[in-house]
Amino acid sequence: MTTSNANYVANNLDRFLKNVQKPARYIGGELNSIVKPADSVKTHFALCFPDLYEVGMSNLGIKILYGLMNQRANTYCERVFSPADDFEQILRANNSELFSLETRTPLKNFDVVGFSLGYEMCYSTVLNILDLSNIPFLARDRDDTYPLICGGGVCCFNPEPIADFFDFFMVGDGEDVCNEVLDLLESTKGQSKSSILQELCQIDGVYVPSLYDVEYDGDKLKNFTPKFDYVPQKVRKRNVASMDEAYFPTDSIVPYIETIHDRITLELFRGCTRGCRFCQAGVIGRPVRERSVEILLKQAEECIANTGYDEISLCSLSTSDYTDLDKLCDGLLELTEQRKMNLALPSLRLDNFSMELMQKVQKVRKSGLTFAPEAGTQRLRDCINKNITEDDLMNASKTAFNGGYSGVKLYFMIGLPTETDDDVLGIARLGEKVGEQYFTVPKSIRHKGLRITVSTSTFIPKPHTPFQWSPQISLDETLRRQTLIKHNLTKKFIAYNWHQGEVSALEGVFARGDRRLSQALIRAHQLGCKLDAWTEYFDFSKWQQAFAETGTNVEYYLGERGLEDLLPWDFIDVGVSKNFLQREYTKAVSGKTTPQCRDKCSGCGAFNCKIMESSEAI
Amino acid sequence: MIKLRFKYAKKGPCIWVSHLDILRLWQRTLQRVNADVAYSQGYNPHMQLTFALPIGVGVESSCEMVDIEFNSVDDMLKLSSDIAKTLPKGIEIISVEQPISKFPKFTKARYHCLVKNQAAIGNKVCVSQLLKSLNTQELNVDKTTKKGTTTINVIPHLFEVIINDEGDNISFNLVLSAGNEFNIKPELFLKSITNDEYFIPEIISIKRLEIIT
Repeated sequence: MTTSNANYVANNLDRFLKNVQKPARYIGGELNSIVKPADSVKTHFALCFPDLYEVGMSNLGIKILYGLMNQRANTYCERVFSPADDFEQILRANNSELFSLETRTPLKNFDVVGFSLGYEMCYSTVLNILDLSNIPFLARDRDDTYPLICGGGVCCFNPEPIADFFDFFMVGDGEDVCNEVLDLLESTKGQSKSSILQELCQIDGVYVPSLYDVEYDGDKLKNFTPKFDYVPQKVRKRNVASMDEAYFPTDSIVPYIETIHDRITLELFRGCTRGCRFCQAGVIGRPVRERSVEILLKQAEECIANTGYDEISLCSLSTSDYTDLDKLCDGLLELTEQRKMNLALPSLRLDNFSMELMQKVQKVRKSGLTFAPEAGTQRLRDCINKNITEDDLMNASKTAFNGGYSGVKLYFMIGLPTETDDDVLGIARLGEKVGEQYFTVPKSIRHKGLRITVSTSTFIPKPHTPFQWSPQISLDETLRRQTLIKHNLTKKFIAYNWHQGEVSALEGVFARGDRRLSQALIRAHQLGCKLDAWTEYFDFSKWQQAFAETGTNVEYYLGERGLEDLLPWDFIDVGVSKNFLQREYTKAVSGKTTPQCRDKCSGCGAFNCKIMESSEAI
Repeated sequence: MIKLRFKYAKKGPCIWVSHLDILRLWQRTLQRVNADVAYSQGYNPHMQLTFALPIGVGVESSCEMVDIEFNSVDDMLKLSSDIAKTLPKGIEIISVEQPISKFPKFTKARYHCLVKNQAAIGNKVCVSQLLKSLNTQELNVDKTTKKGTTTINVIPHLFEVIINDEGDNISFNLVLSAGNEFNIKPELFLKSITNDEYFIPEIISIKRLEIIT
């Protein structure tokens, strides 16, 4: 039976759900989900996550923005996720549109549709969601009857490949800018889109792509200029000043079905003091901002009472760098032990990993251990400024084996700038050497079943990092280096996992891409690309076809950039200066390390950095 | 140690929540109200919950039961009302009691199914055809599970059936085998009586009314 009613599937959901996998993805109504009368609010906001429900519901950013927006009496924020293919086919077969979970409203009926953009591989899904909503892709094709389409999240630090699809982006910490944007949307309600956008672009952190002209010279970007005087030259990223005062939801939705991160997440701090040269999060998150132990414990207690999860995970770029980690863990363990809950400590650094800490967290249940040496040799680790030695790794492994762990995962990147085959072989050597530490532990102490997992992914140069000018290795080279590792891992106790090189190649193109890529994205969508982070959906040949048909020069996007080049993301001001990035790039090539911020300030230029202020005072 | 038996209904959107997710839903609810639940001993301690009979996805129910072991319970009714307040929409406690014994072995269940007939024939004719077709010793249908497809004779697993013409729809009141050994889902029964000429069912709703030993 077909119908022209766009709401047909939404209104007859029970009839269709028996034929789909995980039907609870589409029902809404979960504990702590928000119900408001949609007609009584001024701004009806569709918060879209361009991936499946169980991924989106694990995302801390979604939880924060959902809670923050719904605190406002005049805003109603609802959730939208990408359907899996089975449900998409039902929508298409019935000429029905995708709908929000809370009130089952099609996207077109919202005032604003906001996408969380956390990963370049979600771009094709953004287009698919727009397509399932009968919303034109290009901002210039959407008149005032369509909602405003906006984006936020880390991809906004180079939003150019998707700039043509969006009315505006919010760059930086969402909770810092969101209220200002919503206030403005309320006060300008009823005005034309162009006049709203004219005012939006004046807000710090808001980028309106249609207000800039771009010009190319061959492959390279030649000019990037504001169209009008009132349009800012640079868009300055937003930063939450105080994590203790920043909004944090302790009554988040508890999904019916199991999600990827099915637990309470506490955010210890944003930013990182370490300065690894490949790491984008470390640069765009500067300066480091910590949340106090008191606030974290209070949040933990409230989260437990409101959600009932059986695990707390600590989230940050480098958990063991948190100033008061011992005090925090003691406090948390008091809460968790009594309730038989698990405490997970991901992102521990090798050089300050302690037996004491490990024993504390494994009192209730033991989870696996992952270390990230990132590169196989000291020379290359110095180049990327990882500042971790082989001794650190061996000591940490020994400690782990002594403490009853028999499995360790090691995470590396291949294709880092200056990497040679000796560095690649170093990955295999390190893996085996970690295994050898196990046999130095007496049989009476060590646990049976030694298992070392070596994982590699391909290094992708990211905007706003010292390696933003570096080339990415080709797909063939990725495969060759993976094979080299495979052939040199001979011990039975080592398993080797590698990240699909094709996905990395694609991610690399979009990470440092420009506006010309929008055509390739549209073509890829037409060919059926979506949910590219899932192996069962990802089809590299379709992407190759899309690039070929749109004349996209993939080699250019993956290639080396000149230090003097105008880069597509240069207009975004992250605080950290291009000058600092260049200094770091030069030091990397000559193998010189840079101390972490707390040891010595390198004057990177981060906004409102307390470390920099105090070191200048000295 | 004290064991409590909660009888509850599963309806609304919650009918789409699987048995395993219902188990986790209860565990979290108990954690939220900070109940003094008894945990199993051992390496991976977990709450002691026993369900009377798992239910399929998409089936509404007014006869779900779970036994939960507590170390201590101050006030059974207060605990039950605390739990009720924090249960998600669609899970509703009907009663709470201290069971005298553990669950018996349930082997059958009673269902009410509401079906719209898509075949181009009047409901009255259809019902009489259906009754005729059920007057047999053998009614085979293919049952597909993870292990593969097998052919099953439904008749020995059908204990009661009342078919009614409800105007727009047809209703079935059924008692079918249920549980670990033989489980005939109402959908499978409807499939077994499907006939291109007079009965092409579109399921409107399935309710489990009772579980039977």
